[in-house]
Amino acid sequence: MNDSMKRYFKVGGLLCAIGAISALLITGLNVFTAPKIEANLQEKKAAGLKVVYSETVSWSDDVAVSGHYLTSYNVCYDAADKELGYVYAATGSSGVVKTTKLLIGVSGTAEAPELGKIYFLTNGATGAYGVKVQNNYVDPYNSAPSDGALGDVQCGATVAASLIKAMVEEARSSYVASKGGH
Amino acid sequence: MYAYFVSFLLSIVTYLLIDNVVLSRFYGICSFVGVGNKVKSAFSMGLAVVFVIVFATLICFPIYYYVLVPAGLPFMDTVVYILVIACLVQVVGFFIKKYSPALYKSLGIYLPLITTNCAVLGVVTENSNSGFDFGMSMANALGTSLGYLLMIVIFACIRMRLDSYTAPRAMKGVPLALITAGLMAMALMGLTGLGV
Amino acid sequence: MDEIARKRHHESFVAGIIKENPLFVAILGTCPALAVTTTLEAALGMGVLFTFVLVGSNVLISALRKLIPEEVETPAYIVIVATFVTVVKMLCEAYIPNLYSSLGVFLALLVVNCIVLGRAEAFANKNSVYDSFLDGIGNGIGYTLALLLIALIREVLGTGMITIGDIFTFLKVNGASIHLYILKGPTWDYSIYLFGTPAGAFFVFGVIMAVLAYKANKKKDREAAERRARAFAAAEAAKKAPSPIAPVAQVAPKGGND
Repeated sequence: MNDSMKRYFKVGGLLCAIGAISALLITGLNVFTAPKIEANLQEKKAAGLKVVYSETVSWSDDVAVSGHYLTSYNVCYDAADKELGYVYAATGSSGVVKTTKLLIGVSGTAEAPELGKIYFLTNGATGAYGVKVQNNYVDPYNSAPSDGALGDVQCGATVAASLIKAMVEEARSSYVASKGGH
Repeated sequence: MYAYFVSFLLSIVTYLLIDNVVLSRFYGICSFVGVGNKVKSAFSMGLAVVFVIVFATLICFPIYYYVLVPAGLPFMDTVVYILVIACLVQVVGFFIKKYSPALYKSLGIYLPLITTNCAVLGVVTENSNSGFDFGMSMANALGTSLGYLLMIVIFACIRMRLDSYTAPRAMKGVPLALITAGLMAMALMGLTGLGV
Repeated sequence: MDEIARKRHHESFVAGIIKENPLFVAILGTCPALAVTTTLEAALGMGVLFTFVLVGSNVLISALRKLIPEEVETPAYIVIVATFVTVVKMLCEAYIPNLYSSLGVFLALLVVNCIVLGRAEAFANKNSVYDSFLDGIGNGIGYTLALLLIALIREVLGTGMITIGDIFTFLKVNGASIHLYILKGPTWDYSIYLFGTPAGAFFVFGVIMAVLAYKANKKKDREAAERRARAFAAAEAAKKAPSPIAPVAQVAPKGGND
């Protein structure tokens, strides 16, 4: 093995050593931080559940549900252990709007489901569109949840509003199906 | 299918004009301010950035979704992306030097600087953080890079004209360029009324 | 020897803060400076994290400078900086999640921050570990102060009030953030929305650079005037000073008859 080959091996070995040490460091740190990040998400979700149904005191564990946007739901109970409603968690993105995570409240019976409030865990519309979808679509809807307010997607951030509308409608039909209707 | 194509085109327009990479998302400002008033070198630098961003997205998207995520290592994305981009810029420089030495000379120092251009790493990281599928990632890449090219050429033309006017001594050079960029950003703000 | 070494250390620390401020003098690292300075807290958070990354990478690169040969400098430095940035990103996401979501992708973009790579290649691979450490802290403090200045102007003019406690939640008082109402309050609103937008960021940055250029020009003019005055005075003194031959020649014709 002549000198230049030895030099290549030395340099290559050094680079691999640096890469391996950095990979080990990052992976080791991930073992410590991943549980903390998970705990933060659960805290945020708990705060969100209290926004959707304000009398929430306790809630069930996540129940998985299949759907295009829906991932799971929790049943919320108030202080007297009465069922307040189901809160669905939906995830999706559409066009320019990045990954949006939404909490959607639905309650009532299978024949007459009542729409509850919605809450952003992550708002995927960025910049001016994020502000517009919050002020012009979500806030008016939350003050009086109804089909009329849901359908009014011309708010200046149409793609984001259409995505939210699709998620809410899917949550409602899943609620109706799970309560025995069709 | 048709709706997806329309959404693809709309996304390119959004990233090109409404949510412009330099004037609204603030990537790539160091090279934007430093390119000066030479329109031709601005154009060639913009083209090189288009090339690098599109190819970086084409390479990094499969790496993230088919190598990092299945292996459970999504947090290694920054290290992997920046290494891929550095290699890509070297390869692009090599090919430009071989097939068009004039272009290589006119690019000069700007080519290795594309590695540290925030736009390239910004686009690739945004794609994986936002859960875009392949079509939207390419729309993001194309819109961002074409927006960068457009803005850098316009900016170089404006600065070329600005240099022939007298300005207060304290404002000459960088301060005036920054205020010009602010006026350009204000012009683009009017487009956010588009109900996208 | 000790005095000279201490002076050099002191210089490399102070230079990064004012005389060679990385943002205002060298115009590097402008991308985060315009993007995260909408609020004071985000700017402070970004400055602190940037200082961590800069000091860490400076120290490590300076410690390894004899081992890494010149041909593979760039990829090695990039891997080291990217490792530090990933570590800082993961710690931030776990312990200060509000800062992480407010900085967004700009935390990952610290990898390609011109200041970090620039100081690594210009300073850290030629100087000792202690000098690189001081240089990193000096530049970090300078960058943080610059960010805070831009953020102060943008937040006061743009939102009208200074909000403390949204990101650093341990500063909240009774569970609510502290608001200092300046231009906008419960009953009055004189804030200028433009400064919260990207256009306003460019304006503020441009005006700050113009003010600094004005002061630098004044200093240059004053120094040039002083130099001219000194040269003029020296020329005047040389003209007025009597030459050694002249007095003897003046005395000589005094003879004569009375």
